[in-house]
Amino acid sequence: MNRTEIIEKLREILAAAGDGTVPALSEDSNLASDLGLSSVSMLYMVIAIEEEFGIRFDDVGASDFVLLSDVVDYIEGKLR
Amino acid sequence: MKWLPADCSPGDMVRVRTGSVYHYGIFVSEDEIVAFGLPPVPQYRDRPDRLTVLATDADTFSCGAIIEKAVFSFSEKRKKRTPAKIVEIARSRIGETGYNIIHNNCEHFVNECVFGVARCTVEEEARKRWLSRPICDVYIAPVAEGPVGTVFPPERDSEIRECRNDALRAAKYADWALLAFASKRSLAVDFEKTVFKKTRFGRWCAEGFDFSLSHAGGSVAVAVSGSSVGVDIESVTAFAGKKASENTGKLRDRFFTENERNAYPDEPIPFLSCWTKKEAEFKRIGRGNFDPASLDVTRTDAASFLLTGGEETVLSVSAEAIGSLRVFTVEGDSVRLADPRKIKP
Repeated sequence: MNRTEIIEKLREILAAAGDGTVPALSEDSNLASDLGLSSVSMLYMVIAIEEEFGIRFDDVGASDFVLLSDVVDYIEGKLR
Repeated sequence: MKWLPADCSPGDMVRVRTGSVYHYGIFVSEDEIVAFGLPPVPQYRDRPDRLTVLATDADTFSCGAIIEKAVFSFSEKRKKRTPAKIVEIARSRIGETGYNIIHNNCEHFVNECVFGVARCTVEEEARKRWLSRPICDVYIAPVAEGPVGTVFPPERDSEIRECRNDALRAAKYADWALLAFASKRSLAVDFEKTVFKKTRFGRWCAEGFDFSLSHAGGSVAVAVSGSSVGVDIESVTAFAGKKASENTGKLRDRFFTENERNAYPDEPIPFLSCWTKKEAEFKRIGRGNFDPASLDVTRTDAASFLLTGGEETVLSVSAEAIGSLRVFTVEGDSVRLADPRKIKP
């Protein structure tokens, strides 16, 4: 799965985890300010990502993700 | 397990509310509560030990909030360790790092000390919520040219092959092949093991999930959901080329309710929006004869969208889980979440 495909899948997850709005995503989207993710919705999103990608966020801290590219890097690394 | 504000004893599992979450610890004394990290409050943000297993006094642990203690059920009491053992284990872990908000947080820590099993109810509930979320996904694809392939179940395969109209046969095949793809992708359905049957109203249905099919022009649409769903599409291009487009007034008089005539202007796209909503609503109900004049879509929450970029198409969906609707376009191996324009009303 390449980075574009990962971002596309993240769009699907965000649309399902939120209110159905399809988010416009780019690598430099800021998770808090651009996507409006609170700490609780971030937790929900991370669990959704774990389920959909079949990975575990077991070696990251709470504040390791600032930009969407950080999340994509992490998923890419886990899938490798 | 219940939580009560009560006097605490050594080995008690305790918690305090901080904002929208709880912070957990193991009570030893008023001067010693062992917890994985400090409560997530601004005054501790810069402390280097905020994500370490540490012992603090009750004031530092509670941040002024009320400390609650866990009161266990009989079965939980049988599983829990002795207070002395709980205190011993908690103290032995002081200095540990490796905090992880999902897999190794303060609630995992206390459960591991008390029961020997690391678990977090927030994580479990969030995971359960995700896995049981309502799903209502619609897939749109062009009808591929060429001979039809084989589909499951064999009864549906025969039905498709017996269709004498080449274009209709190709559309029926494309729709069913898209259904197999959509149900696997959205609902993780084992399609070839699914029990399909035909209702006495002539509608195919599946055990375990609901689906709906539609085709128009050169496109097919499939809706899949864990609850009832109906989908319908109409090609704006094809409609505009028919006489029907000149007679929307007559059709509206005959088939639209007064509410619908007031809500949907006499123009092709609003007409198709209302019409496809009627079809989608009828498919979702799944029984009886289609009597468009008796279905008032202004009383439903069916939604219509205009799909552009290829053949201009009106899509309508009626579903119990309409709030979770996602629309995907499929082109060969590429699947993309679409953001189609909603047609109002």
